[in-house]
Amino acid sequence: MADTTPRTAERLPLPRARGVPGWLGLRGPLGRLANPLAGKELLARMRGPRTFVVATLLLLPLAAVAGGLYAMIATASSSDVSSTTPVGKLFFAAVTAVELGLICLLAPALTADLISGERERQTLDLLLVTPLSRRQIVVGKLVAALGSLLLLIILALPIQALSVLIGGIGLEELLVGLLLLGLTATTYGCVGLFWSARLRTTRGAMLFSYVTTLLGVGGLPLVLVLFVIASGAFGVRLDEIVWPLEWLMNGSRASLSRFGGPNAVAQNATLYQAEAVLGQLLVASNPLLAGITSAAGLVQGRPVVAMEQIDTLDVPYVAPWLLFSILHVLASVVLIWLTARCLRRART
Amino acid sequence: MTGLALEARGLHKRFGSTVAVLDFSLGVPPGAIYGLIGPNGAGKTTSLRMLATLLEPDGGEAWVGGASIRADQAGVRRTLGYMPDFFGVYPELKAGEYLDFYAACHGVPAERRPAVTSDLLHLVDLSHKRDSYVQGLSRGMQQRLGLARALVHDPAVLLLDEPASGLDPRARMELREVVRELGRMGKAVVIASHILAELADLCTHIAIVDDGRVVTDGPVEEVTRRLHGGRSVRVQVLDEGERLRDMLLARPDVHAVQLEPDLTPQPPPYHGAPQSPRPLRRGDGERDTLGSPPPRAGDGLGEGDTPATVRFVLDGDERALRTLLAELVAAGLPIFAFGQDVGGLEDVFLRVTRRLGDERDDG
Repeated sequence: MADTTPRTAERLPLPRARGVPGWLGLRGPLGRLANPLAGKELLARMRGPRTFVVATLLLLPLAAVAGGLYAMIATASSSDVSSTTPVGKLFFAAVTAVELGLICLLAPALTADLISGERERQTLDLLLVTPLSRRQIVVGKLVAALGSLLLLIILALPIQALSVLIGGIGLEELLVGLLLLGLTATTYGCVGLFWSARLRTTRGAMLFSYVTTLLGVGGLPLVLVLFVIASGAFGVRLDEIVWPLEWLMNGSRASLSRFGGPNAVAQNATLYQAEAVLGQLLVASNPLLAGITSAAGLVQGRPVVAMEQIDTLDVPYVAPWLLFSILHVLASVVLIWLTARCLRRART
Repeated sequence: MTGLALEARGLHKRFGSTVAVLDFSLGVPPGAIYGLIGPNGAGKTTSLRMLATLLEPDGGEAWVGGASIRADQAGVRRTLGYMPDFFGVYPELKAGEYLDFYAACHGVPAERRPAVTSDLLHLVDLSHKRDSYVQGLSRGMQQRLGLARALVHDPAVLLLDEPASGLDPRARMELREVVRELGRMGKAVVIASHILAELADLCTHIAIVDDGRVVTDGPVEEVTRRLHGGRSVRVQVLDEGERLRDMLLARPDVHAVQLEPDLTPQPPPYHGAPQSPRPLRRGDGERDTLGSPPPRAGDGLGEGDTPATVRFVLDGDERALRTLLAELVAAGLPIFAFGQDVGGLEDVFLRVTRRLGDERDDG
């Protein structure tokens, strides 16, 4: 039988590099997050014109929308603008929605070339032969891309904060808005990164990223629109299907008894509870719907987590922004894991 | 020799129904410059990629600095410097930043990185390009920077895949000097190439790879002797090429004698004009032990002198070589160059691959 012991093992006094200390020499979890790749990527992004161009692309339409709205409010209100409390909410909602749309457009553009670009530049192998783990490579790339996206959100903050000046928006709503924007950027950034690792070309990765983003952001609202059309055309009762959305918007004013009386509600309690949970999950999966329902919940002063009563039925309620956060953090973690796995598969 | 810096045993790799590497076995001692010679598609790059942990082998095992490429990939990457046959650039980085970035990726502490970067730029003679964007460097400079990148963590083993491809002769020579220096520093260097002249003047060891297998390997002279049945020697004389050939033919320990007409262009008559720089003669696959280029006008060669080259195979070791030289000089032959003909690598390679081809045809 052949000797399988390596003759080289433990015999050569070869130099051993220390573990990768991470960006700025940080160790531990923070060091693993902020690795040299993140530093290099941020330097590269800031050095080129891309960040300036992207910031301009985001801020110009946002400023135009905000300016237009502000002018409308100022013209419509004969007295002090700051007293128009509901208009402030409308302003905030409109600006945040526009910003959300722009972030969804920018996130794939900023991330879909992260891995495929390395492959096309023929630098991926050079990274893979360093002691950086696949996960560190993915996280390093993502941190830099998200840094750019978060910078854009921060740059747009003064425009959003105009709503506080107009009135009707509190700090809580502003923070929830930022959270939704930040997590949307993170999740759809991870989508771009995943396709970038999964597909060989940046063009393909860009295409798949935009299709995924379009489905993720516009899919559910599109289905709702189709239901509305179907309810008119085929006599389907829309309110029987989308009552959880109505409940999330109206809170305690929602009612189930119109679907067959109190007895029917009691008989189908489990079904209605399941529909409520499923409805909340679906709404929380979509940034637009989660934003609208979160705003409604905050206005109504609903608690973050509670057991609410609809007619005689007890239904668990979780604030849409919290459920949205949990779902999107989970999705991001899964996408990062899948992306690292794609890099491992490249070895075979 | 206390151990091997790199050892591979029976590595094999298949892509679908195509066998890329069939049986790759190699032992590289520290300080050796090991040339992997083989035609395009022989499996050199695939073998190097397996050793660099970029490709999972289907079978076999290899150890780099004692770390297994299957079980301890992180250990391999710490010990190994890899330079692929292409140069990927980050267009937005400068040469100094490029090295600093890879040093950080390899875990070189931040306080040591400026010194490491400076030393490496100096080693590859790019100190003056520290603040130049990588994309703006010439191909030769980029290759040297790539070599510096592979050295940022002071690896004990270097894998260089076609390092001189696309370089002009001067850049090749500069790269060769750097690799030679690395060998002197005790690093084990494995160079894959299909250009024999690129390796002939550089390597201490060679492995001939064909059809995914290492056909033969070992120190250059040993492999040459093994396949030639002796040492390949080249002698250059003035005018008396035929007498030299006859003398050699009369010896029982010399065979395969060939008198070659010297194709060196004759210099123009000397009129006292300033001499242009001497044309490079190294890099043509020849390593001299006595004097380098043949004499020219102005170097002592008369207008009527005709240089001639005789190649032959000598049975015996260095002692036999020395004795032969002494006898030829004593016989009054006007020898101006005498040395082992490493250019015989080409011959060795052709013999081996031709033999394998014949075996395949017979089989």
